[in-house]
Amino acid sequence: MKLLSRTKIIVVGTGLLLLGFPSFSEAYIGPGAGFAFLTSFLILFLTFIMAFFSLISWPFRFLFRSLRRKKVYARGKYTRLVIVGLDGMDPSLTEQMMSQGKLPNFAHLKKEGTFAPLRTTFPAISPVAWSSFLTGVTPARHNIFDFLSRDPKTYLPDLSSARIGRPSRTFPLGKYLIPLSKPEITLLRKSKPFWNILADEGVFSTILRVPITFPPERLSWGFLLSAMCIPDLRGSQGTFSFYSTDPKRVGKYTAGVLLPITINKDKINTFIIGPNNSLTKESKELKLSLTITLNRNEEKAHFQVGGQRFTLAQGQYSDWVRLTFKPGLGLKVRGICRFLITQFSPHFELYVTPINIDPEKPALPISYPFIYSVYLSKLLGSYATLGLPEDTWALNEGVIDDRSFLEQSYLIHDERRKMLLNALEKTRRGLVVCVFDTTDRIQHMFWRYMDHGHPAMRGKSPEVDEDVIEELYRRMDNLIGEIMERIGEDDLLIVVSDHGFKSFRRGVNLNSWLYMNGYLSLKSGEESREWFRDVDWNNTRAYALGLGGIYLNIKGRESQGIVQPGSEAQHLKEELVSKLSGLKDEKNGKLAINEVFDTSSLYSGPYLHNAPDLIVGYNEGYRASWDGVTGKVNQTVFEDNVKKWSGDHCIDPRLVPGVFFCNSKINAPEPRLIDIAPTALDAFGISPPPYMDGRALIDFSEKGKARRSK
Amino acid sequence: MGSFNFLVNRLFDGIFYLFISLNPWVAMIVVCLLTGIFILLIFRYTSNQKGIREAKDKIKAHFLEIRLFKDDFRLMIRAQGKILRYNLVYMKHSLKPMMIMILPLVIVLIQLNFRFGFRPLQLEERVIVRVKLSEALPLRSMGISLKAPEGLEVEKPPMRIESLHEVQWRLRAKEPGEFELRVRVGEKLFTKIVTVSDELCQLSPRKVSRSFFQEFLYPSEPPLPSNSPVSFIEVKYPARNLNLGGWNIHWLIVFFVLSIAFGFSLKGMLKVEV
Repeated sequence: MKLLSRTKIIVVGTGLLLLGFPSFSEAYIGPGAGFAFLTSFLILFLTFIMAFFSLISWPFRFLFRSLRRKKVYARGKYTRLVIVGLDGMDPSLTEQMMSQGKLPNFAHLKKEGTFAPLRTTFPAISPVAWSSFLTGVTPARHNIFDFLSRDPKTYLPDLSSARIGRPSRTFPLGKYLIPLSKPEITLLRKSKPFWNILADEGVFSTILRVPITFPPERLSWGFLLSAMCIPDLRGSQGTFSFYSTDPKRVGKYTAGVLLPITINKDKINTFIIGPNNSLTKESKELKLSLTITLNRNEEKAHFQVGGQRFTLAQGQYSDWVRLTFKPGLGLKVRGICRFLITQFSPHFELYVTPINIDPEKPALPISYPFIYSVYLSKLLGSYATLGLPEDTWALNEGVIDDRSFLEQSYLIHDERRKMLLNALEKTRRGLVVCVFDTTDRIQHMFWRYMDHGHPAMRGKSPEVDEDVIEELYRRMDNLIGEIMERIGEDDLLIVVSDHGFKSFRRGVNLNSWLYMNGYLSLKSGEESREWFRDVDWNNTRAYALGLGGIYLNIKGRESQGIVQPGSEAQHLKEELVSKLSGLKDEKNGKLAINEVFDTSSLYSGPYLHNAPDLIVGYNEGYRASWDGVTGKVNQTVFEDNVKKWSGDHCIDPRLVPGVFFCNSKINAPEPRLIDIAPTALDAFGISPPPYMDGRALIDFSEKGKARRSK
Repeated sequence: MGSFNFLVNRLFDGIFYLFISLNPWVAMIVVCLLTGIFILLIFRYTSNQKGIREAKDKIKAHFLEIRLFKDDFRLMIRAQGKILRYNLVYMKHSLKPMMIMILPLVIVLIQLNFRFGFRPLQLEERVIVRVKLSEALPLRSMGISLKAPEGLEVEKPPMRIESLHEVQWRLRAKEPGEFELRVRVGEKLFTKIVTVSDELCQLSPRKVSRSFFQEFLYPSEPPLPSNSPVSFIEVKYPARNLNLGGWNIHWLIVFFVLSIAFGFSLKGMLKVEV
């Protein structure tokens, strides 16, 4: 009691001291509270300065913009167009679940507006399809034909949509190589996205995570956050790290690295591998030390990395952890990643996601304007920036389990959802486009749960709820519900997917087929390692690369080409089309390839010469085999797909249309993905440019009249 | 309180020991650096670092929003409103460390005030000594005298100001050193330290009567005895200012600016969100 009163006296006394002695009170505001007061004052000061200048300059900007926008919004039929992309959403599954009453919001859209299958591109692959979506043209005009393209000089694969290279000029200074030019970051997709046309006409756009928008293109009015093909900090399309004390786990992991670790008195000292140091001649990997202290009683581990500390239990994802790598000369390269303890005992195992570019301090431009990614990160928190952030390979390789993959996917989905809702709130007029990848990734990895008898599930039982895909569709329905709540009468809502989905039970190694049928030769032996390393190009007439393309080894085009362009090439194409179309699975007699398409008969355009010569239309249940995609040649043409990647769409595009939902009726019986861009332009009263292959889907004349009369 | 003051005085004497013969700026810079680090550490361990980071992020986001949506008047105004709102949140998160910092900082400031706020007397310099009585006593009839040791000289007879209950003398410094004045009030004898020096040292401008607050505010010298008729004995040392390019700056301003500057420049190294 006495102690309490004494404490009270001290507290009250201190307060009185501060009040009673102005000099000390003033001093007290000094250093301690000074931090807070000074920062707050600075914020207030800046706010008022900005408010002042905003108010002063706003009428002029308003006048300028109004004059510019007046025309476009006056002739536009809608105030706002919202396009939501749900990558890989399948129309058959959607229809089925709608009829069962599981997707009320989609059903509402169908009832009030339109639901139809959406014809996809040849081939039905996301980068190709989304490129056609955003440009309104076929692949021969936008130059994207697969995830991979091939270098005709080396026959090696390249990323089809972007080229990221080192600075072309450097200056050696001791151990350093000082860059004298910017690193090369080139977008290989051609043609103009429809939002650029809209922006040039004065329509504001917010474009979120639409594939094949990296590097971000300048947008005269609006914001863009890039997506597919943004690399991780190591420059790859996603390399996870896996730490294990189990010597049996040592091996090669696709899209990942294994780091063996040892425990010493419940402590693990290891490191995180960062990017190669391109600032030095040796270009060694940058590393950050990582210390893990195990608490075996609580089955928790305490992490120390880059000055940050956090504790995790098994199966619990960390928040995004900021990593700063220092290549030298005072420079810093920043990334973010998540940590997950996959096993505590008997062996300690840790999974670290690929190190994403930190959106707050991006090492490469990932948005336009540059500050847009920073803004989103500050407002909504850190978010995945990698092109394909859901780590399908970590699941495929058995590093994480089904539950962890699902959790990771939905964490990313939620980040995207917040971005879209923010964009809807801030973009009251104009265009909002956002693509969600969760639908694609979860269907790829969990189709085996739906397809009873899938080779990947033989002798196995589901690790999570069997209705994973139904739950996924329900979540998408909820998302659409949230969006519809924010949609007004004058808003047009379109929901699309780039393709549908089917099971991937059996893989077809076309390179093996070509080898066994005399179109592809090996230097020696009966097998070739990855990327055609043992292929004898001087005796090879055709080869398959990527998920659906066959290239002829054309003389003058390929460095070691032997097939004469013209009639010889045409004859060879016809021969391959004839032999491969209707190819049956030797094991079960099922049709594996529906049809092989001569690309030149599918579409025409200035980039047709970069296309594969033939596109393979696999039947349902089949796809290019894992070995075939990576240029391996062996004696096996057909093989079971036992990977968790069990659903796919890289088949005959006629079998995997996407979905089209709209809150308005359309006047086309069979909408196509290439029709979305002209439809978007038309919605704002802008005539689609003549080079666009698509056409507008909606007759806006009535709507336009109604708006004008209003 | 006496023991507490003794310990704090010795601690600061220890810190200032190396700088007593140097330019006061050196000591000030070191003290500001130490204070900056001290405050940062308090901030780090007592504040809601995550909350501060989030509030600052939101503030920055809305600043960027103003820049990004500069054509949307409504959004701009809303963003400015949110900046102010998150500024309050930020202030709220800073409140706890501020409260915790009050007491140690007041102690630091009191110590610094008696080292940087005043300077010792210099040779041949004159100073007023005041003896303030606690009650209205007959100043003229009471025997009140001041005896200065060698090294100090009482220049004139005392001036008695009845209305203020105080007596004043004027002293002259003749030699460097620390001297003890003897003040007799009636039968009672009191002492007071006077310092004549060129060095940076702790001064005691006022010797106060025994009381918690008075001792806390004037810790340089032990207090007067209880029930003393004297309220305080004061030596009116000249004020010290820090000279920068011909400008005399009050030490408090220098302390404020430098400690905050050190704090801000070290926050990254110490990984503190302020």
